Amino acid sequence: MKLARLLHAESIKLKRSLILLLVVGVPVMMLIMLTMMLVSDKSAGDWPRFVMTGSAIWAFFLLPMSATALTALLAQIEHGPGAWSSVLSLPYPKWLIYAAKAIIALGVMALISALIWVAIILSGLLGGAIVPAQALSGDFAGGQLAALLAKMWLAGILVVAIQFTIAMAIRNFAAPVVVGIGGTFVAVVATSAKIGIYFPWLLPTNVLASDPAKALQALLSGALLGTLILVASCVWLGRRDEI
Amino acid sequence: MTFAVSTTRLSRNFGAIKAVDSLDLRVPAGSVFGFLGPNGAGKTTTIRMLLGLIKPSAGVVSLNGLDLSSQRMAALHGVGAIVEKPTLYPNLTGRETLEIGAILLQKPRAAVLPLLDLVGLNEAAGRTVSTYSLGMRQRLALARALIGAPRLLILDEPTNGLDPAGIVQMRELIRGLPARFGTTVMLSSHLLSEIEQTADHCALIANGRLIFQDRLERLHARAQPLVRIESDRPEEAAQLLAEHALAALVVDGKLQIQGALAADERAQLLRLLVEAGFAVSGLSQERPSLESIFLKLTASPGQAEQAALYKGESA
Repeated sequence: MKLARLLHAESIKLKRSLILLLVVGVPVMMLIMLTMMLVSDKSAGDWPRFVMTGSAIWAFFLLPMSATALTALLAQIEHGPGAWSSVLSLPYPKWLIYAAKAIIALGVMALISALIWVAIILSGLLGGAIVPAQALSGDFAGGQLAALLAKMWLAGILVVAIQFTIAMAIRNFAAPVVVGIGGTFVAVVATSAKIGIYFPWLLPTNVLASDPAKALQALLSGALLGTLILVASCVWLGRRDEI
Repeated sequence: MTFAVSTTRLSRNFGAIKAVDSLDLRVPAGSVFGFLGPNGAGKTTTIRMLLGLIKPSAGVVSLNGLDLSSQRMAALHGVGAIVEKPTLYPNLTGRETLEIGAILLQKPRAAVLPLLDLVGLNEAAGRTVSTYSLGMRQRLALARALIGAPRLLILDEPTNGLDPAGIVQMRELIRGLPARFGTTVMLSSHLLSEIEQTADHCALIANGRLIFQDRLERLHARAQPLVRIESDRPEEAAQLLAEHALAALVVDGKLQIQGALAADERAQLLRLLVEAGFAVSGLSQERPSLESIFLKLTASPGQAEQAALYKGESA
């Protein structure tokens, strides 16, 4: 199967790349940050609240930044002189070559999300072990966290799709990074705005909304619109001239 | 004759600029075909169209008898290529680089070993490409282009940036490919000397237009000899020769006669001039170098006329 072969080849290209540093680095950052927060907090919290805090940090800041860095690094693998030429002159449909890269991007985001689950849980346990008075009370919320992270991954497909398209279309590393950082910081302002519910970089955070309808809307629009844009992007990129 | 590459009126415009203009290329199967032209002549644009990387504004490309636009995948299946200076993947080892090719072209991983051997990278196969010299990278790129056992190999300036030893190595590798694998090799270069030492057929393009296409020795045959005579009063000497049905021009103060003269004809010519009182200080018969023909063909103002002449004669 052509797609399976492309995915196999793409996964080999990740060996010893900066993408692996990102996969490990972001969860480690989360682990350190949450552990420090927990041990310095005056009031002991419970697992459900802690899980919400951790996932909010991920959705609001680290998820869009990870999507930005990941897609930019993924594109840079092929942006060197002549690299795209040798890939796109293979006997494969060009759109499928881009689709394999998009699937790898979503797969790596899923992997980082899984490691974020580990980081949040581990930081909860670690904080309690360092300062026993701060040990989290209540039921262990591993299932709740897994469900939240899965929804955030789905809602984040739109951000991945936007970043992927820019990173693949423009050889310059700065362009997708500027858009990604810009989007993430505009999201801070947009939280209080009514229109914020439609802002792509805010959709993963909106999954946490107390209003179930708003949370569902964020989930569906991020996942469906994101998938649509990814597919359209692969077709468009495949039709472009490789100059 | 079967052709590994055949194009019909292939053209590509970038805005108002015609980068490639009605190119009718014929690359004979089993040949090493030199694709020559000065920088900016349209070589890379042509190669990009041959590989389906950019769409032609007009015209048709056929690879190994398969139409590229309607049978892209089948046509590209038998093609390996190096376009521009290959970056490869610096984080991967030489072996991993070739294994990616083997996976994508459905070849066994064992196919990697003889290729590493062929390009002399067996010992360096476990090192990451970031530690390779430019010559090693170029040889690895060649091995990668060969992994699918292509019937046609397209190489865009494969010796660019290499040191003399690297050039010799690459040249020997390329020259041996048709006999070893039955591969047709089409290589572009702006260096005539490179093509001269590697190819048996060649095409010349300038300003996007084909100005010569044939066997390399036919290009040599275009090198019409010249007889140069150093004499005093060259204009008067030219007039005397004209009276004896010998058309001579005065170029840079020397008499110049187009075409070869036999030894007795040259002796007769000298006698004629000396007996008429001219002080002849030298006579030489020269064959212009291929380099000078190349420059003349690609740069002279009457290029279009020459193109018509050469294409007509070589057809």
